[in-house]
Amino acid sequence: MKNYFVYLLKKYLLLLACFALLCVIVYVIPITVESYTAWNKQETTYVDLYYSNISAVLGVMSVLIPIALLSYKMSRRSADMHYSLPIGRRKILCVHFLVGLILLYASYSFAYLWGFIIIAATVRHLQLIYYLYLYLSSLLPALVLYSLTAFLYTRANTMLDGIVIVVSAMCLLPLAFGTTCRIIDPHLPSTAPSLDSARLFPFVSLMEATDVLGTAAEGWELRLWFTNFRPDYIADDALTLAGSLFWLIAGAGAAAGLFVTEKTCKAENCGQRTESLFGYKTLLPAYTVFLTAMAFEDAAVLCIVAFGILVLSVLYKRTIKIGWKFAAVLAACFVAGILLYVIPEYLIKIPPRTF
Amino acid sequence: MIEVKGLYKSYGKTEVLCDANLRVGDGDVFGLVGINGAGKSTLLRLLSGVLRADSGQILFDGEDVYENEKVKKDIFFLPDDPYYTVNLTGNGQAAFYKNFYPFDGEVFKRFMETFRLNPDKPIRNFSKGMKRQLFISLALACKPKYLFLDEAFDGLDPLARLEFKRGLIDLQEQGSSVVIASHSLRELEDICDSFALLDGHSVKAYGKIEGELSKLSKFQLVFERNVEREDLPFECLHFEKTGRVIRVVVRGDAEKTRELIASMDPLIVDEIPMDFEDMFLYEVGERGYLK
Repeated sequence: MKNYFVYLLKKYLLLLACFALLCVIVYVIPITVESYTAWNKQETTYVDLYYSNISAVLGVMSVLIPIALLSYKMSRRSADMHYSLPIGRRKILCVHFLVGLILLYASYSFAYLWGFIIIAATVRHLQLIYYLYLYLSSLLPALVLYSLTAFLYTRANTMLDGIVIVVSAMCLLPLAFGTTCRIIDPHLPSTAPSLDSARLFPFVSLMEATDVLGTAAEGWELRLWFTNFRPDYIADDALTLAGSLFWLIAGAGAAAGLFVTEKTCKAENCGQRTESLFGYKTLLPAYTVFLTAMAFEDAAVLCIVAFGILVLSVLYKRTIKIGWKFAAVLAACFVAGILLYVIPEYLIKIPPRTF
Repeated sequence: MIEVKGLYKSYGKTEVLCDANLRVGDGDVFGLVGINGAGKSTLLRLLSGVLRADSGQILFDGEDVYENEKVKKDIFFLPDDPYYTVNLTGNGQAAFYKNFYPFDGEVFKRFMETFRLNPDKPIRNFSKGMKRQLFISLALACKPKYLFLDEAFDGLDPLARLEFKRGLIDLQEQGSSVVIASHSLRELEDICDSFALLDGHSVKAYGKIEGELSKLSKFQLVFERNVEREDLPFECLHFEKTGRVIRVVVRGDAEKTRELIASMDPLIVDEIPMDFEDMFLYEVGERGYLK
């Protein structure tokens, strides 16, 4: 196992270099320019740390790396080779999981450390301790997103299905929440806070929770941050917190599920149709409900949604004949979507908000 | 020793193996034959621990193979279309296997030289036959106690086949058992001691090739009168008639068959030697394949 770990790490050195370079391009270069300019002008005011740049790359890498490292499970040829080796399936998975995590953290840490040195050398007012806290607190969201991606991706039997499932599963909660908000929003009092469902994306909600540390690191006093705090943000922050907690639990569950289910995974399914409950089977009906409710007002958008669902159904079934049973499930979900839109509109006796 | 006992395997609702039983002795070169879709590759994937059986047992010296690292240390499985990553070279693939097997670099180098392959070239640039030669070199260099080969001779030229067979015999002399699934029956007959015929989701026949061949006799007969299958005083595995010339394949005691044929006063009786390919054709042909 140790030998294989070292072998795999060496094999992915080039990928590590590419990711590190990407981090340097999006983070170290802008921060160097900003810090150098501030240093030249002897400025002591606010300096943009471009933290959002590197956190975005961290998020993207947390999705791409597990996809790259766990694709050995997606083809029959690869599965034949890996599963015939004298090493247990969980150990293979563990090695690939750990190597991916090292790639993720090493490339991120490299760019972060480089940026830290530049900032420490040039920007005088920076609170470096918060910069360290920010670094440490960003590792957990990355791990959560990495574990979620790894779990969701390995529920599929092909790479394409895996990517579709990862993206759609992570967008489901914001979609469900956003749709519900959009439907009930006109019936709520105008003073009700408008909630941003984008905060329920796993990485967004987790990184938003570390926002206060970023503000502190950039030189703002935390006292000022709390002073400037607007009460109407409370609902959004509560949503972020709820989202963070949800995704933390989901991430831990995903990591556990990944390893628990590995021993029973069937090699004969590699490259076959994806029938996992975490896959199309559940996602397509759920998307049908929420997208129908979302698009019900606009016939043209509704047609596009129906077409999209049909395309995904064909992708799932790998044939245009999606079967009566599945078609009936989708039709029922379509009706459920209409009801979701209609019930607040006609049955809940809340007068619509007037402008 | 490999023992397969009451093995069942299905892919969803499709039954692939049903109550398969066989035994491969230590140091045997074992041929696995059968028509396309008979379950040869599935059986090899089960033997190498890639697939889990629905029921039944696969025992290597009494131990189950599935997820058993100790047993799998002695197994090397070479599938019909082996996997390699995009830019991997022959040496890169060897470095991969070194992590898991007691890899003999000298054997690998010798075979690469014999096959005139450059181990530093990306595998993707190799032809089908060259890829096969590379993976055969890797398999033999891993020196496994149990070597499983799927479509082993596929794409190999006659010289490469010869070298490969020499390599297998060397491995056998070191006490290794080899199971080969192939449609190249003449090649199998050259190197295999035993065989199993997979048909109708199960092992229909298995044993020593010599022994099974001796159970069948093939005769070419010419009669003065018109003779049909039902006129013969014995059961035929195969009956073929061209004018007055009849070719029959008979299972059972050859001496007794000769006596029965003699009792019919044929003009000419020729006993034709049977080979493994004939045996396969008649055994499988009689089951109604490709009518």
